[in-house]
Amino acid sequence: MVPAIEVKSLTTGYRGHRAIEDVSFSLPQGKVMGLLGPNGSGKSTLIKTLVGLIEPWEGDVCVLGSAPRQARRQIGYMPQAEDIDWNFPVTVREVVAMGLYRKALGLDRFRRRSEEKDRIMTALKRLSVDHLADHQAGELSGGQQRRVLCARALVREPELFLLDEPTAGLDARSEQEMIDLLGELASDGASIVFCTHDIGCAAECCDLTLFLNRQVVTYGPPATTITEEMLNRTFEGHALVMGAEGSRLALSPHDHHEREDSHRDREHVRHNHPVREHKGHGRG
Amino acid sequence: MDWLTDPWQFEFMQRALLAGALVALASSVVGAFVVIKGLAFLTDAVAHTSLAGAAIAFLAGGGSIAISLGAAGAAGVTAVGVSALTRARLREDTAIGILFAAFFAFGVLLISRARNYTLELSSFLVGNILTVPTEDIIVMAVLSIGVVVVMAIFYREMLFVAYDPTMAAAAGVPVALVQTGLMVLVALAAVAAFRLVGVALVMAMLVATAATAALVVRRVPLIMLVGAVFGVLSVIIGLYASFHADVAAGPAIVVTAALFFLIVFTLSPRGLAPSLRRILGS
Repeated sequence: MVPAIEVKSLTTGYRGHRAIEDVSFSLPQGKVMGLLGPNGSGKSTLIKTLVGLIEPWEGDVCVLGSAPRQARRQIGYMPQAEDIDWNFPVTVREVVAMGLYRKALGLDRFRRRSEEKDRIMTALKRLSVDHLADHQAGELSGGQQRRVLCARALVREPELFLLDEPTAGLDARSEQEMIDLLGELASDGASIVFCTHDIGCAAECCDLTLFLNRQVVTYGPPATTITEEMLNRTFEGHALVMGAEGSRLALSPHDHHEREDSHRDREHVRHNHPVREHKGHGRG
Repeated sequence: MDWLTDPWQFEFMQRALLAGALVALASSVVGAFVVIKGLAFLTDAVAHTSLAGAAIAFLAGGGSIAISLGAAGAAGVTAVGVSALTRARLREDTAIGILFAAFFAFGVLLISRARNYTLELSSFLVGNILTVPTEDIIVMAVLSIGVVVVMAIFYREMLFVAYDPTMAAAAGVPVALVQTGLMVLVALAAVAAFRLVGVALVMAMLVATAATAALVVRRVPLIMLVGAVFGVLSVIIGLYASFHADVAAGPAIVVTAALFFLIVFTLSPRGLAPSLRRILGS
């Protein structure tokens, strides 16, 4: 079986800015991979390269055995919710229907595909937002909006999910539901890559975690990669790991861009914000 | 009730109504995207720059079809030019500002060579639907129908790209082509509208009716449809005003469209009503 993703010595970026350097990894099919790193570490750039939105400058990217653009039918991509214009007048149903887009010329464009409707509702049901199908997307809560974007990726019935921050801004219950869903999809045979700031979430639901800070810091099963040393190297001293009665609690309280912030603030976060409450730092 | 039926006994009024209705439909169909994506400034620029093309054709002694083609050419160049300049990472309003002023000045400069300068200029600026020859009406109709048909065919791509260009690109939609295509449709609708209400008022035609509709309904196809209804009503009322009160038809249509917006905005739950209630209630 070809790997879901095979990346070799990838260097790329955007607008002349080098965002990731010499990244190599391989993801077997049916596995869940968490992509962790501070803001500006190149997580979104890597995801966009895997979708075919950004071309590699150097190195090779192979998705499901072919170039990303050739594999796009098999990819379900979910961009960051922040990248979407939520004032745009569309209903939830219309947003999810976009996931079913495929190039069609001639009369095929107008053929009403009755199964499309069913597929849309099935995807919405799976994310427990089917009752919102005819609501304006902009009127939903942040968590519901992320579910809708996830449903849009799901409706394609892809073999590979590439999800940019699917759990950011979700409350604990919705996050658990999202994690459960990722697990279900993986057990159905799908491969999943998702970006997150949430180390606790990654530890819980990933088969593999890749720590990225412009380069691969470490890659492997969470048990071997989530260590104090790796967190410190990835988050450059801004992730604090504390042993707490045998379990491990990790904090990533600071944005990469806020490095100048005072030590006092960091102390404050350490004492008051356990990991589950500290999410949604925005763009990665 | 004669005042209701009288106007339509004249052929020039019937023609004006037919052309006006088609233009209102095309304006509303592209206007929905103009309003949602905030392209009003671009629309205004495209309309004004079409003057340069129209002026070249006019000075070369071309007929009305040549003038419309000239206008469409200049508007199309502006639309593609703005699209290209924006892609070169110039801010969109800067790009538009440069092309807008340059082409409009060039157009006025050319027309100023004409013998009856002010008369020609004012007919370009505010239109005169009631006196244009039949060929012009045909050109307007063809342009309007063309815009609506193209939008109907590529609606899915247009909506996808307008809503989420990143995901659209990931799904294989040619995003740059679709975005440029939308600007060209805006340009063509502007040219169709320019004989009706003139270069200076085209923007009102494309923006006002769709903006009114956007206050009432919240789905793109419905905004297009309701916008077209407001547009056709504006044309009818404007033409009545022009016929009975002997005022210029173009401005009458635009003022009507603006009044519709004002009324709906005042009453709409998304408009002035809640803020007024807050002020009066407190």
